[in-house]
Amino acid sequence: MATRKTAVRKLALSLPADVSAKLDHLARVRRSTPAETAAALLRQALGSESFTPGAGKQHADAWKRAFAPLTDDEMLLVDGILLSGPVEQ
Amino acid sequence: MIKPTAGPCLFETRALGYLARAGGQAPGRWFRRYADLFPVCLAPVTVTDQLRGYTLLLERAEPSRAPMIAAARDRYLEQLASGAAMVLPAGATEALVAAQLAVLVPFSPSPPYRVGSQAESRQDRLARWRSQMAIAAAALARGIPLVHDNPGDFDHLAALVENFPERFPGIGVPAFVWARKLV
Repeated sequence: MATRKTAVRKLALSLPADVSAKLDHLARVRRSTPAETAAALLRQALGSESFTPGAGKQHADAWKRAFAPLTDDEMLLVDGILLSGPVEQ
Repeated sequence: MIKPTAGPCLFETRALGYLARAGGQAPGRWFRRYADLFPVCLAPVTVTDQLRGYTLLLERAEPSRAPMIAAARDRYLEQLASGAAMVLPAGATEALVAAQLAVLVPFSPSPPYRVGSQAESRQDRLARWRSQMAIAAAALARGIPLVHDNPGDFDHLAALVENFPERFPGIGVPAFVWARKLV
C-alpha cells in the first residue's frame, strides 16, 4: 500500500551561526538532513508550546507581586545580599 | 541588546527582581513581552538565595509587616509551581564549567556590597560569587543568553570564556546581557 507523503512548504530561515552549526552536527549524527532534523526538533518544541494569548501578562503581573511590595532594603536580602555588619577595613 | 522573542533566557538573581519591579520602563516592557513567550529560566542557586531572603525577612519582620512579606513569598512560590518559571537542573557540564571559572577567578572581581556603614562580610561575598559562577555556568552549558544585573562580575566571566576557549570545550560565545541595557 502506498504511503501518503506529508505536504511540505519551503521556508528560508536565518539562523544564528551557532544554532546552524549545531543543527548540521545533529543532522550528521542522526544521518538525516538539516531540514528533517529541524522539522523533528520544531515538532517536538511546538508540541509543548502554549498558544494562549495574554498568559504572559498574568505571569509578569505575578512576578511583580512577588517583588514589588518589598522595600529596597528588603530586596537586597531576596537578591542574595546579606549585610551583616559594619564595613570591614 | 536582545530581542524578547529571541528565545529562552536565564535570569540572574538580581536581574529578576529588577525586571519584575521595572514596571512601565523599557526593561519592564521587555520583561512583560518576554514573559508572554517564554518561561523565566532560573538556576537552582537563584531559587535558594531568593527563598533564603524571603525566609530571613519573615524571621526579622515586625508583626505588622510579616503578612505582606509572606504574601510576596507565596506569589513567588506560585510562579515556581505554575510553569511561569523553569528551574534548570544542573548536570556535569554546568559543574565542569563552574569549576573552570572558579580556578580562573577564585575571588570576585567586585568588592563586597555596601550600603552606608553596612557591608557584606568577605565570607558572604565569596559565597555570592560562587553562586554567580554557578549561574553563569548554567547559561553557558545550555548556550542560552544570561540576563544579569551585575556587569562588573558577569562581563569579567564572559571575557574569560572568550579568552580561554580551550578550558571550555563545546561552549559557545557567551551572550551575557545587562538587564538595564536589554532595550
